[in-house]
Amino acid sequence: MYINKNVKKEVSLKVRMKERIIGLQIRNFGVLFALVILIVFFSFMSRGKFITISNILTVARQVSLAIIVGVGLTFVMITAEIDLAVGSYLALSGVLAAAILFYRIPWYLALLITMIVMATLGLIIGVIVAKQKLNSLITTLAMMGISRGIALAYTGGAPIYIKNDAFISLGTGYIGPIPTPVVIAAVVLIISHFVLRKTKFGRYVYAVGGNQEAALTSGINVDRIKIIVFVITGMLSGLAGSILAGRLFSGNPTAGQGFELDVISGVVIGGTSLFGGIGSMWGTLIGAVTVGILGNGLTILGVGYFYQLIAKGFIIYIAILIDRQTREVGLRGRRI
Amino acid sequence: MNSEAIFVMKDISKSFPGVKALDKVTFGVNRGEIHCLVGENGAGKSTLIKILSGVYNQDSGQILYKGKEISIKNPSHAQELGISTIYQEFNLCPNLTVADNIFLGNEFSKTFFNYIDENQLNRECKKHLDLLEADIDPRVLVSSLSIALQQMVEITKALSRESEIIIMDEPTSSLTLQETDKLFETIHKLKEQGRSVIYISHRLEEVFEIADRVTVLKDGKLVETKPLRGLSYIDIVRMMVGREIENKYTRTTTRTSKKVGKILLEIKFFTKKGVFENINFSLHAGEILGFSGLVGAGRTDLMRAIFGLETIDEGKIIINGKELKQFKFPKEAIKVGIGMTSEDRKRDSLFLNFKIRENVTISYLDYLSKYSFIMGGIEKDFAIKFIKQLDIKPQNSEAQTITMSGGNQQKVAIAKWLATSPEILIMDEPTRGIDVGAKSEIYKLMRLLAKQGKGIIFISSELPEILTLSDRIIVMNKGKIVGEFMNEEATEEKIMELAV
Repeated sequence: MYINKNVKKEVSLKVRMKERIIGLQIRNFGVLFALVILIVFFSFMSRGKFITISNILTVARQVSLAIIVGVGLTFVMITAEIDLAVGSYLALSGVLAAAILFYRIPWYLALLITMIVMATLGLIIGVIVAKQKLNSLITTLAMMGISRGIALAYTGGAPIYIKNDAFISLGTGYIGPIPTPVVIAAVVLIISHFVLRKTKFGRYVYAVGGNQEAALTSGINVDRIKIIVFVITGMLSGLAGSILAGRLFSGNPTAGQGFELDVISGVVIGGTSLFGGIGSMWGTLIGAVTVGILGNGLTILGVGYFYQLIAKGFIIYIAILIDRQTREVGLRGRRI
Repeated sequence: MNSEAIFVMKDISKSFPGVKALDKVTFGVNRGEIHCLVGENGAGKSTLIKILSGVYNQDSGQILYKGKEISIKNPSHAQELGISTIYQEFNLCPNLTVADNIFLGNEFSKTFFNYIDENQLNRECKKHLDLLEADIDPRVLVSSLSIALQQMVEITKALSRESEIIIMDEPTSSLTLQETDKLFETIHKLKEQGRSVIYISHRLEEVFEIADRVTVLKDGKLVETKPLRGLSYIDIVRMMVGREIENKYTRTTTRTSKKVGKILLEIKFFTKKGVFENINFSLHAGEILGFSGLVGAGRTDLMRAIFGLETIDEGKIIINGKELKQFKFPKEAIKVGIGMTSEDRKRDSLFLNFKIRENVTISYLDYLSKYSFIMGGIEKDFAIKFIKQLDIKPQNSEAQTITMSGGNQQKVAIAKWLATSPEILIMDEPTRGIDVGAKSEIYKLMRLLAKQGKGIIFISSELPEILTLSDRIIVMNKGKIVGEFMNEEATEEKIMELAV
C-alpha cells in the first residue's frame, strides 16, 4: 500500500519544508534583532568609536564586497548548489585586472574583460555541475584551488601594482558622499532583488531549488538555470575582485582568503536555506552587514585577527543555533 | 487445522487518515507452512504485514504468538521474537561484505575495542549460507551481487537470527525465471526446517506453485483463508475482485454516442528494452483512456517516455496527424499540448516552497510575462481563476502549498496543467492518497475535461475507478499491452485475468 510506504518520508519532508518557510519569516526578525543588539553592544563597548561617520563608511565599504558576491551566491544557494571558489575568484580577478591595466587598457575595458573572463569560469563550473552532474561542493572546491593557483603562479606570489586612477577609484572613490563600492553594491542588490522576485528566471531559480524533479516536469530547463546562476556568481566576483584591486592599488594573489566563509555565513544568516528553494536578497543584505559589523566591531575593540576568526566561528554557530530555536518556537506557536 | 499455529492475529483493525486500511482481519500461520497473502493493490496486505513486523501498531485486535498474547513494539522487537521481513527494497549495506551484512548489529565481538574477528565471521557466515546451499563468498561486497543473490543474503540474514517466521513481500518482482525457481527451492528448504513463510505476490501462478494455504484480502477485509488444494485460478481471482462489487459502481461514460472524436495522439512501436515493448495505441478527443495493470507493468514508464522524461529505443509519436521526434525534455511535450500529472505529486509535480499561485502558473509563465518580467496582477487573476474553477481550498492564491491537504494539493497539481490548456492530459494515479470526497471531485473534473474535447490518459491501479471512468481500457502486463476493452465489455475479472 502506497500510504504505508511513503507516509513517513512525506511527513518528514513536509515538516522540514514547513519549518523552513515559517522559520524564514521569524528568522528575518530574529537576525535583524541580533544585528541591532550587536550595534548597541559595540557602540557601548567602544565608547562611541564604533558609531562615527568614518567607521560607518568603512564598514559599508567592506560589506559591499560581501554583498556583491553574496548576491551571486544567493542565486546559487537557492538552486540548492554552492560555490566555494568565490574567495579565490576575488584574487584571480584582481590579478587579471591589474595585468590587463599594465598594458594601458582603459579602466572600463579592463573591468569588462575581467568580468567576462570570470563569468566564463562560472560557465565552466555551471556546465560541470549541470551537465556532468558533479557535486558543486567538490567541483568548486577544486576550482578554488585552481583559480588561486593561477593567480599565484602568474604573479609569482607578489602583487601587481595598478597605476590607473580611474580603476583605483572603483574601490576608493566616492559618488557624492557615498563610497563608490557602496553605490555599486546597492545597484547590484536592487537589480538582483527584482530579478529574483519579479522575473521568470527568478521564479525558476526557486523552482529548481525547491523541487528539481518537478521543475523538469514543469518544462523548466533546469540545466540552463543552474549554469546561469554560476555565471552570475562568476561575473559578480569579477566585479568585486576589481573593486578590491582598486582599494588595494594592486592585484594581489593572496587577497580574499577566507572570504568565501564570510560570504556564505552572511547568506545563510540572511535566511537562505542550504537545502535550496528559500532565500531572499534582503536577507543576504542583513546577513552580510551582520558579519561585517562583527569583524569591524571586534577590530575596534582591539581583538586581534586570529582571535576574531575564533570569535566569528563561535558566533556563526550561535546564530544558527538561535535560528533553529526560533524556528521551533515558530512551529509550536503555529500549531497551538 | 490440525497442525500447530505459530501465531494468530485476531480481529486486527488499522486506520490511516481517510482510509480504513484493515477491518477486523484475522490471519494465522502454522508452523512449517507456506502461506500466501493475496489481494489487489490497497487490499491491506502490506499493512497487515507491517503490523506483524512491528512497523505499525494495530488500532484494535490481538496477536497471539506461540499461544501467548504479545504486543510487537517495533521492528527490532519483531526480529527478537523471530519474525523477519524481506522487503522489496533490501535493507542491506551495499558497501559492506556479505558476512558483515549478515551479522550487522549481531557481531560476536567479545574482545577489547569491539574487535571483530573476520575469519570467525566468515566461517559462521559460510555455515549459514551452506544451509541454503547458496554459493556466495562471504567476503565479497554486497554491491557486487545480483539482485537474486542479494535476496539470498537477506534470507540468510533472517536465518542467522533464528527467525521462525519469514515474510517475503513481492520477492520475485525483479528476479528472472531461473532465479525465481531457485528462490522457491530455498523457500521449500525453509519449510523443511520447520520455519513458516508468509509470501506476498501479485503473480497468481507463483501462488499455485508454492502455497500451502492462501489468504485473500479485499478492501481491508478478510475474504477467506483456504488450503490451496481444490482452489482454481478463477476462484482466487473471484475472491480478490469480489463478485458483488460489479454492480456497485454506476458507469457514467463520457462519450454519449458511439461516435468518437478525432485522433489526438498516436503511439507506435514504443519500445524501451526491459521496460516496455512494442506499444501501440491511439487517443481520441473527448475520451478517457484507462490504463490498467499491476504496479510495475510499465505504465508509468511508458507515460514518462511519451512526456520526454525517459528515452526510448524505438517508437513514433503522432500528434494531430503529424509525426514528431521523441521529446527530449518535457518542455517540448508541453509545447505541443501534452500535460502530465504524476503518481507522486510531492516528488514530481509540486513545489512545496511555493504559494498556490506560484505552483499554478509555473508552467505557463512564458505567457504571463513581458520581457521576462512576470506581470503580477495578471498572474494572480489567472491563478485565482483556476483556484475557483477547481474549488481549491483555501481559496487564497497566496496560501502556502505546504499547509494544504493532500486532495487540495492534488488539485493544485492538476490546475498547473489545466493552466497550460493541454489537448492531451496524462493523469498517473490522480486519486492516490486522497480522501473519498476529493476523489469524486477529481472524477467530476476528468469527465468535464473529456466533455470539453480533451483526451485523457488515465492510469490507475484501482479497478473500480478505471471501470467507472474510462471509455476504453488498455491492460498492460510486464511491459506489453495484453488487452483492450470498450467500457461496456470490461469487467474486473476480465481485466485481472490479463493483468496478473
